[in-house]
Amino acid sequence: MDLDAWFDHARRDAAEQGSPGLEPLLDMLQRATRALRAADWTQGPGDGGEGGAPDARPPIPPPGRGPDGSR
Amino acid sequence: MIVSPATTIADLAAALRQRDVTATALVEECLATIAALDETLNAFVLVRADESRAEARAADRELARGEDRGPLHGVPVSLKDVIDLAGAPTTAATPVRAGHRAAADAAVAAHLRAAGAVIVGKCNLHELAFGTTGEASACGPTRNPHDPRHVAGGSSSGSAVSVSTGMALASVGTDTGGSIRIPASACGVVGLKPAYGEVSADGVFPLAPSLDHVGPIARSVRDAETLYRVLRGRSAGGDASDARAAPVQPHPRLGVPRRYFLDLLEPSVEEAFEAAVERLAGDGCRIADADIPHAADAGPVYLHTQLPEAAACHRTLLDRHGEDLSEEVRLRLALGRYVLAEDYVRAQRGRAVLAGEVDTALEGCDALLLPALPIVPPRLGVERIAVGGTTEAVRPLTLRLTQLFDLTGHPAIAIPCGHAGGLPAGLQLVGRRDGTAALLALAAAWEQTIRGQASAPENGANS
Repeated sequence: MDLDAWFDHARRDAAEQGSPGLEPLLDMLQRATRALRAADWTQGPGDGGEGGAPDARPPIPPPGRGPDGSR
Repeated sequence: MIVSPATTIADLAAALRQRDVTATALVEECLATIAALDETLNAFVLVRADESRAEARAADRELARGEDRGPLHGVPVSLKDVIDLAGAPTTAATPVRAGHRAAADAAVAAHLRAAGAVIVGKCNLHELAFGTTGEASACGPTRNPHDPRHVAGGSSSGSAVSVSTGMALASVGTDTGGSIRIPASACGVVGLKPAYGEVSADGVFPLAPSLDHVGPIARSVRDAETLYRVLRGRSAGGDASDARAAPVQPHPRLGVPRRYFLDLLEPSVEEAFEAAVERLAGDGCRIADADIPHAADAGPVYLHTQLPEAAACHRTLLDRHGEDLSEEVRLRLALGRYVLAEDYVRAQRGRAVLAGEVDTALEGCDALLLPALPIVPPRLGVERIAVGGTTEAVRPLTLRLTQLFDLTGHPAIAIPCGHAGGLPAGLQLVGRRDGTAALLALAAAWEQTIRGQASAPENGANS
């Protein structure tokens, strides 16, 4: 998804939920997402629509819990 | 007075076995210190006065009978209040968990009990362990024992304060982005983040499970090593430790990753760190430059890992009780819902790259050497700090030097290295992913050189 469009949507969503305090945090997150996407490790296969799955192997042994805390 | 700033667990273990001191007397002293200081410092959520006295009496009886559970037998310790202790609440410093009672001990609590430790209480923290200052808590802010106008660092704020002041001889904390090492550095004690997964997180209230580490906060590296072994369930025999068995190079090579890690430091912090580097070099360490090429990307990678994992972990809490959370914690939890899945995947690729780069940096040296906190612990309520010609928010600044090693899982230990701006300063040693024992051995061998002058508070909150 286009980053700016996503964050425009996010800001509207936060406003509708009555959380104006989220706006500066969303600005910060948008800058961070831009930086993440600009990092040169993201330029491999799978990022440019050239085919191939992104290599998302965990850097460390699989945790005992999933990312949502599940076991 | 039994516990002086220089007293170690090994000292107490010897004294307990020689009947020079009793566990009961030790606990009474810790409880008296809590009574004297905690109204100001606010390190404890729960003081187990009656229970700890009973546990101490039991330890004294066992030791008198010659039943020896090892070096923590009869030693008062505290737990960050995210760690389950059967029958006690685990509040995570949030009003949302009022009324909670743990059904069973967390794995680390069970190991401590089996080792005969006396659990004197449960410690205050930044709400949900989701912050680095210790200010946001349903129980009120924790204050720095060296100057109560300043933060104690977080999120394991109460744990570090309890150890720094002698309210407990050691504590157990958690570290997702630096939450053991940051308060340890701010309070002038030792904090170990073991390698990822070495210490069980079973029964520990999670924040971001692929980043959460459990580890000790202690008064010395040797004390941290003792806790580390117990927390892994390795202490029962009390024999020679992994760390003592690990060979220590007489002239270890320490790599200083100057780029990024030394780019944004308060001058007094830089001065304390460089003085420690000079002492190490003067005493025989070989200091070399090291580099982690993508270190500056650690912040975005961390955000895109920690935020969505925390949002996923606490989705029910946020949906049903969001209005009861502190505003800053509620907003950061909600923020995690706006991280796109594709960016979480990108971040995991970044973690793999960063982990490889830290591995590579460690190939040429025995450990990495860098500061633990780039700033002096700020005054309570301060949200932004001027540093390096710019003004930065406190939260990302405090995470800046520690979060990388939560992402990569490498063991890291914070050790006091003097003072900055009148408050403690700490540095980090970072070891190989399979090398926590070797890291501890190295840290123990060079601890006194790193410390220079002692950094324990002389008068605590009374100063």
